[in-house]
Amino acid sequence: MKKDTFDFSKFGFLLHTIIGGLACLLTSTILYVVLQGGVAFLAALDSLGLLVFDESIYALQLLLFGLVFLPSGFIGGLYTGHKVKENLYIILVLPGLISFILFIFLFNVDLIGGIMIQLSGNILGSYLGGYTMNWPPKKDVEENRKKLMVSS
Amino acid sequence: MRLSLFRPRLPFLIFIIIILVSSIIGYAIINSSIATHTSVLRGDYFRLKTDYLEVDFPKSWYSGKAEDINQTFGNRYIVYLAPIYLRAVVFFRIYDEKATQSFSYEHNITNMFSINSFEINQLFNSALAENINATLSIIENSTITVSTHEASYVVVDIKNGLKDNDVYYNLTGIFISLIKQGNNGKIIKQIIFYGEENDWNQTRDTFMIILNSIKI
Repeated sequence: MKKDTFDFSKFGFLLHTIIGGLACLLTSTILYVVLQGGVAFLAALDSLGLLVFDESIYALQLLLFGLVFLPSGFIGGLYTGHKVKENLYIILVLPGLISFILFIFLFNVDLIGGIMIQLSGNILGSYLGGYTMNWPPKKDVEENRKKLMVSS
Repeated sequence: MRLSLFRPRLPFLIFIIIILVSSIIGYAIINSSIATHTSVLRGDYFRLKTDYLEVDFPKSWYSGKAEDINQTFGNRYIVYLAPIYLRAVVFFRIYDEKATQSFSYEHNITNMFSINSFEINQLFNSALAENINATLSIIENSTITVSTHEASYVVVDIKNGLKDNDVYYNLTGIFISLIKQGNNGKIIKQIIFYGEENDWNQTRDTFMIILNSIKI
């Protein structure tokens, strides 16, 4: 009689997704602390007073998006994309989402620019990282195209 | 022969491009913001212009604003400025007509001096929470002209009113209030500047520049 056993391999992707999310969270935290939530840019320019102007806040949001949340999502996506090879278009949303939720709950940070900057940066970065790991080399693409042309 | 040593994958290229574009645009906006908001009279000051307040303040000071919008109790606008590395802060609080009514009714405000008294009590109570032996002295109580309006001001000193790293310091503050006639009633405007005595004295000259630049 076949023994019922729990097949861990089916859920391996979940573990790698969580590890990817934690990598994303760790990178977000380090970059956010190093850049002091974007205030470091203004302090370097001796212009902390800009915080009172709306357009400066938007500029800081853009900088945080590009220099903190997108790269951290990318790191999480690289790991997840390296370990998981199937259903990437669904799975890659998870590292960014996990990191986003944990970051908000753990640190209760009043993010300059709000939560959308972090969420979109983490998820977009995660997709780009995941697909960077799984992007077919140019040689394969050309070979496939040749095969298609021959077969037709 | 084609160069094929480093051929980045498309998602990685997109990633790099997004980083570069967002950094360049963000940095450009910050620089243009510095140029736009620099005070015409003082190069090392910004000029903040809002519907309810115009003021110059040092570029290096930490700054922020908040709008407390409430349909029932009216709107309250707050701007705060603080020098970094010094324990002092400047507040501007502006109540609209509705908020002025609610504030006056709630705290039994009848004139400019009673606004200052209320704020001083608030500060003194918070000092007492830190140190039960804190003592309040009123140093000066008079009127001053702020942006062509007559305002009431009170200078206070709270002995041992600030606790920092288990050491007690004296608190000094100036509370300025004025009541202005708005379109639909009276409007309360407050300027509060307080901090640790030595730090307060160090920033006093800058505060006077700020005060003289105000347009309310």
